[in-house]
Amino acid sequence: MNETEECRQGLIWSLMKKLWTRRKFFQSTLLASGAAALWPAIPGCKKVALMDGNKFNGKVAIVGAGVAGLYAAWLLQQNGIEVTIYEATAAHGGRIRPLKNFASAEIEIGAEEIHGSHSVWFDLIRTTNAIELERDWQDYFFVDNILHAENQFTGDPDLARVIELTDNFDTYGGPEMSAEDYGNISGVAGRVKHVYEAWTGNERGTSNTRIGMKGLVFEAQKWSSGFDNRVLANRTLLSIIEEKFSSVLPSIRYNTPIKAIKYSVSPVELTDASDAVHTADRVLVAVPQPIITNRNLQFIPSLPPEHWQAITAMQCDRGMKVILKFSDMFWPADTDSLFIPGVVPEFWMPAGNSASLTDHVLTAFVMGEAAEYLFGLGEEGMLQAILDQLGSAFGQDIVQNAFIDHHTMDWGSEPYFQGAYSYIKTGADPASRNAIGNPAGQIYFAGEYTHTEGHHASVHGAMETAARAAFKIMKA
Amino acid sequence: MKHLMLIVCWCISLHGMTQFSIAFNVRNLYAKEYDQIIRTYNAMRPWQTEKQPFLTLGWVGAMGWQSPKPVFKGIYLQGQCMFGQFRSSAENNGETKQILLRQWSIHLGLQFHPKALFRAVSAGPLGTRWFLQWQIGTGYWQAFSKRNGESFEDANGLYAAQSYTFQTYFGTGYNTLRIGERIFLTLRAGLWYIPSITLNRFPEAINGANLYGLKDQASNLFLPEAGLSFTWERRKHL
Repeated sequence: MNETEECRQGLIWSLMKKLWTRRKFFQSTLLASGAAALWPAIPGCKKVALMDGNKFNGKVAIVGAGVAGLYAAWLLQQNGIEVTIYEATAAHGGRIRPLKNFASAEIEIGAEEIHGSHSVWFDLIRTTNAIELERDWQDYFFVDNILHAENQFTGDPDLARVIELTDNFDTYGGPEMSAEDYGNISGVAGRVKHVYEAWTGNERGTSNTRIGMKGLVFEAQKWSSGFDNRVLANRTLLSIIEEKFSSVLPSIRYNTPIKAIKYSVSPVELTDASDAVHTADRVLVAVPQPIITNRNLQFIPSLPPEHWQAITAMQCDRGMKVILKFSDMFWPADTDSLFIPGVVPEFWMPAGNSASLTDHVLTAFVMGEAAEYLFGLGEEGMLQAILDQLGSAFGQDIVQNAFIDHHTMDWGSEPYFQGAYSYIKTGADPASRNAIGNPAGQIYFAGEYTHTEGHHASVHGAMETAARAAFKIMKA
Repeated sequence: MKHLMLIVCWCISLHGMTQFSIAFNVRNLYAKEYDQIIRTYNAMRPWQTEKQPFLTLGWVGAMGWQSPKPVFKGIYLQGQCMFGQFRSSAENNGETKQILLRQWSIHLGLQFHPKALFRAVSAGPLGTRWFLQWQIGTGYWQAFSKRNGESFEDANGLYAAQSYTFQTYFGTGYNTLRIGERIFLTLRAGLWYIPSITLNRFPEAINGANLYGLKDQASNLFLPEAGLSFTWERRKHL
């Protein structure tokens, strides 16, 4: 090291020494430690605020008083925004609907199960006095003319194959095809095909011939709410909504179907069925998908192509719940679901409000092609077909003699629903639907079918889309 | 957990040759992307009487070793394995929701006195009393949520957002006290820098969904950290 370098280094060192003595360092370290530890606790340093930067201060019109419309209205109202909800029917709740005065307790004829415990819907229910039941009873499979209990039948190689397939849709990487074709090439045996139908297409609101693998894969990969399904033991889902969103119920204008939304003007004009015109600065459309695709609600001008594409990538089929009341419980008392070959893919014991349900009731759950077939038989023919199917497993005389009454909830025949719930159409690209999350002018969209992350066909999915729309309106 | 056990074994095996240390630090996180995820979680649940706090204050426990002799001109070599956690907890309607962000990491670093870079300095077994420290390392991060102490799980087990990161640290310390014959108490403070951390599906792990354009990637994270460590001197003064 030469003298110049030594001199330079000595200079740097002496400078550092002057600036920062040991004592100063010691004090600084202690100060820094204390500051680092205490900083987060100092009030005002980091505020846990609600949505920051809320700008909007106008009027919002919400079309549809289902769970998405009500929750969005409530979120907006919580933030001081004026809302009016236009509901086509005489009731709120949409596809959450209890059947009253049929049995000893109200029975859910719309949404029934709470899918997963990792959702805003589950959290909301937890703030009430609702008692949840986790459905962990037995499934029963009628196969080879014998009724098999789940705990004795899961070792059956054909059923095991169905379980393997339906539990692993997320791993499928092949070409687009229907679930029906996939089942056929994957070796689903004919004796358990009705179980595969129930667990795949029917559960998703359609039939195996109509639902595509691409949609199933997307949904399986995106699902993030958990697989623990529950029902409520002591109250209906509608009562939860009415309790929690009670403050927005006075803002509903019932029996006011909106038939056109003109969003080329400001404020936006909404025309109802009696040609009365209502105005709002922003409009949230929270109606079922068929109301838009069947053109029962007109947009002026037409929706942008990307929105239309996102909406029509989903399909919403006819779906029904037929509630059957019997004088005897001829099925096993611990039944969760019954899978019997025939037109109805799945029967179950309705557990909604079950603590006080003393009648012997079964729900026949039919979607898609099967629902269309039953609808075509007429009410009497449909009932006979369902009873015959039950009779094939439990004895025709036993079933016919025990039958007391039934109630059919056919969502496809409801003029302001026109279907049950949505699924991703075969061939549609589920990843290209994000446009529906964005407004078209002053029009925002919510509802289960607008979910772009795999939670369509669920109550919590509808709520998540409502929050998306409400947050975007607030920031507009 | 497997990773952690391996790291612990690695550290213990080095103990025989080096000076063993344990450290405890508090640290602060500011990641606006993660704050926004929690803000959205709260905004969707206006019924909460206690808002879910941001992931702000965390702690770190570390085990490490230090070479008893300088490896070059008063520069001491260090290794460390670390476990850290940030926790956000809120109680509503008798239920506790926790959001946890955990880190497992290993680092290699240097400890030195600036003066020692240029001339011989008088140093104890841990180097000079005041020192600077620089470390680089790699970490595994995991974020998940719990309800009443139970982690949210799906069909595949724990539903957690995960990320591997590169990180570097610059800090300073002061060998403050000798406790007994061979234990040193050292005060430390410094700053971690993580260029990028992508916790895939972090919004979903917290809120069950992400429809809101929330980002699961945070860039240029700085984590100020302060605390103390205890080091066991391997032998008497060099």
